[in-house]
Formats: sequence, C-alpha cells, structure tokens
Amino acid sequence: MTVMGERFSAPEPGYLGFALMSRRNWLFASAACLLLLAGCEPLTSDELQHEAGSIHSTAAEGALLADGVARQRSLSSFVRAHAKELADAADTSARKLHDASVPGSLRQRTSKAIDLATRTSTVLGDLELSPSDPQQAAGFESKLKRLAAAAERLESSL
Amino acid sequence: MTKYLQIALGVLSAIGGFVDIGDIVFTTSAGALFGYQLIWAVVLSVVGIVVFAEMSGRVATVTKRPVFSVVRQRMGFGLGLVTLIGSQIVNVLTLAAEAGGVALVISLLFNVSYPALVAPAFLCLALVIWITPFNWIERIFGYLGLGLLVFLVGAVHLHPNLDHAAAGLVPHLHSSATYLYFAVGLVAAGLMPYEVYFYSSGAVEEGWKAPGDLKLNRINAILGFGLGGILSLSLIAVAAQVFHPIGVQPEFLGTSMLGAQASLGTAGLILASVGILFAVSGAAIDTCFSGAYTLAQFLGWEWGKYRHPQGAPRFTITWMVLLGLGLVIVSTGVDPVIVTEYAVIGSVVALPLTYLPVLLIASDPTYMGTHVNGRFAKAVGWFYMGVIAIVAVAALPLLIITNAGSG
Repeated sequence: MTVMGERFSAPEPGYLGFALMSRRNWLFASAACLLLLAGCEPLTSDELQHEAGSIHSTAAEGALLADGVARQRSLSSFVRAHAKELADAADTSARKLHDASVPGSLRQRTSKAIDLATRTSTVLGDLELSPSDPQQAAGFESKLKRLAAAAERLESSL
Repeated sequence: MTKYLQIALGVLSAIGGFVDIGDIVFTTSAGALFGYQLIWAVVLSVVGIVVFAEMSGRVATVTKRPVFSVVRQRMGFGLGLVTLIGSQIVNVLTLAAEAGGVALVISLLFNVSYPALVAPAFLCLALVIWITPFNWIERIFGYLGLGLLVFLVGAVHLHPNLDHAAAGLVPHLHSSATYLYFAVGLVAAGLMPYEVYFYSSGAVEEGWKAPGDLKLNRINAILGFGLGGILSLSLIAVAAQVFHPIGVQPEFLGTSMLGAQASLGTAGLILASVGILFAVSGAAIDTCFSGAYTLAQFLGWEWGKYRHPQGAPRFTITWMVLLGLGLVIVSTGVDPVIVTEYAVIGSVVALPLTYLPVLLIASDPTYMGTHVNGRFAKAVGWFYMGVIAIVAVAALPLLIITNAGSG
C-alpha cells in the first residue's frame, strides 16, 4: 500500500510544469540537433550512389519518352507533362547534391553527378518545349541515353 | 445479358482494390526493380483475396450482414473500434490518393496544371456518387476500368520471357530488404480491407439471397479478383520487359502509362490512360463508400446507396465528409502516389482484425447453417491468417529500413 501510495502520490506543486518544461526543452534540443545533423552530416558513398541511380533512372526514362516522340508513337500533351515531372526529379537530385556537405574523397564524383543531373534536366526541358518534333526528339534520345550510361558508370564506381 | 452484368460488383471491387493508383505504381516498380521475381507475391495475394472475398460475400448473403457488422459482433466493441479507426484512417488516405490520382491522370493526358484539377475531380466524384445508381456505378467504373487490359495485350506483345516468369512463381532467397518490402507491399495491397468491406456491403445492397446467389458470389470473387490479379501480373510483365533492362526505377504514374506506350504506341497510351482513369475513379468510390459503410454498420445507422439520401442521411453525410477530408489532404500538395503507398502499409493494422472475424463466422454452423466453411476452406483461411500475421509484423519495420522502398 505504501509502495503503491508512493508510486501514485500526487506530484509536488510545480512538478508537472517542470516535467513539461524539461520535456519541451528536450524536444527542442533534439529537433535542433537533428536539424544541425541534417545540414552538416557529410554525404556518404551510399547516398551518392543512390542519387546517381536516380539520375540514371530519370535519364533512361527520358530517353524512352523521347523515343516515343521520335517514332511518332506518343501524345504531345503527355510528353510535355511527363518530361516536366522527370526534369523536376533531375533538378531535385542536383539540388540535393549541391546542398550536401561533401567529404573530399567524394567531391569529384559529386560534381560529376550534379553535372549529369543538370544536363539531364536541360535535355528534358528541351523535350518539354518540343514534344512533337521527331527529328529533335531523336537527338534528345541519344543525349539522354549517353547521360544514363554515364550515370550508371558513376553509380557502379561507388 | 443481366447475368453477365451481375459480375460487375466483383470486377469493380477488384479493379478498384487491386489496381488502384498505388498498386499501379507499386507493381510497376516491383517489375522494374526485380523483373519477374515477385510474381509469387501477386499470386499469393490474389488467392488470399479470392478466398476471403468469397467468404465475406457468403457471410453477407446468408446472414444479411456485411463484414463490419460481423467484425463488431465477433470482436466486441473495443477491438471493433480499433478496427474502425484503423480502417477509417486508411480509407481516408486511400480516398485522397485515388481522387488525387484522377486529377493526376487528366493532368498527364491533357497537360493541365494538376493543382487546378484537384477540386473539380472531387466535385465530379461527389456528383457521380450522388446521381448514379449503385449498379450503374459498378458497371461504368468496373467495365471501363477494363481498359487496363491493354497492359495484358502489351505484355503479350512484348514476348515475355516465360522461363523467368515461371521462376518468379517461387519466392527467392533474397538478401535485399527492398525485395522483402515489395513482397510484403504486394501482398498487403492485394488484401486491402476496404475491398471486402465494399464487396460484402455491395452483396447486401444487391439483395443477394442464399442459396441461389452463392454461385454468383463465387463467380464474382474468382473472376473479379482473378482479373485484378491478371492485370497486376501484366503490369509486372510490362515493367520487367520495358523498364528492368534499362534501369528505370518508376516513381510516377506517368511511368506506368509510358510502359503501355512503349509496347503498343499511341493507342496503348490512350487505352491505358482511360483504364487508369476509371480504375482510379472506381477505387475512389470504393473507398468512399467503404468508409461510410463501416461507420454506419458499426454505429447501427441506416446505410446503403440503394436508399434515397433522405432514407440514410447519416450515411450520405459520412461519404460527403470523407470526400471533404480527402480534398483537404490532397490540397496540401502531398503526392497521391506516396500517400497510397503509406496507406497500403498502414492497412496491415486492420488486416487481422478484419479477416479473423470473417473466417470465424464463415466457419460457424450456427450462423452459416449448411453454407459453413468446409475443411479445405478452413485450412486455406487459417493459412492466410498466418500470412497476414507475418505481413502485419514485417510491414512497418521494412517501410522504415528501406525508406519506403527507395533503398
């Protein structure tokens, strides 16, 4: 009974407020640490490999989309909308890598990945602007295939 | 002709349940990442949903009580309430994703701004639900969703590697957590609880009677959900042939549409778009009704689309509120595809609490009389309860470990 009474006795005045403050402070501190870590934690090889894989995927899919235009087997409205989605995905990859804290050992390959993502986004943007020109699309297709192959090589090197 | 039209309930439940927006992207991703290696997971989930849909339809036909009424009676108020809350959260998320998916398909097809289409998509769905009789909703969305059969034609046209496909019928000893995540996701997606809530409530709505309509129930469950399974397998095959060799990791609905185009050209793209549009709209209606059915059945309200809105006002208000909540979620700008993937994984909480009472009631002769489960049905039912338990335990850790399948 005593033990139970002690365990469930009412907290002293101010205890609850103190507990809440401590908890709130702890939450703020944790959130601040997480933000700091998110901003400063260096990019790892696995993360770079993952982004290179995303760039490879986006460029390869863009090449397939351009192939549909080159062979006049698509709808320009669909090409325009989907090319924009893919270009945005490539931009996101470039931005993520650009904002990351990169260790010296990965600097060169990260720059390469940013370059590939940016070029992929540019070609997809061109496809978005000319979604019904088969000749131009054939050119975009070969460019995107080259970018996909380069991203794949980068992904394998990590 | 009427007999053929009567399988529309199974077709709509299956099209809406098996090939909704999340499944389309998820299944395409599974095929793109692992080729044919996850075919077994689709087959496992198809057999499971056929077994439980047949049981829930039989229970509804014999006892005149849909699944959620059975859940509350068999599991009691407390566990019934947990199931209700879990299934309503999943329903609202899925509804938001599906209705957002309607806007997404139209925006891709006509290159119109997606945010501008969100509110009109919800309004159109509300009008369709308000105006259209239940049996016509089944027929319009069930049969036009069959445009997705273009993926079956596309898969055949691409000459799938049958040896690899056959090898995919056997689970692989894979070290990858991503492989396990997709396997669990495919099984969970096939067994989403809202499919049996909608299906069994539809059986009551249509006034199925034992013993005459039990055969119709069996045909609906086998053909409808079997068809859904064939469509899922076709999506895997197209992705395995088109995307897997070139290393595409699908993240967008447009990628699935591109698969149909790569196989069959412009006609394939248009048919796939129409099929996806009606399948996703059908899924939105399934989930909207399912949410209203479960709440009304749990609280003992008048329910049913066959009743005039004045005859079941709380049921009508519920589906309107659910649509409103869906609109709020999608209006935040969240990606519908991501929402539905989380909804699939979240649904595992409601899986055991939904399917266990169905199995118990269907095996109880005091409820079912001569239509009680036989030994084989009981054995298969308990085997699937084991599968569901594994899926329920594994889903959330795999979601976290694999960062929702993105590695």
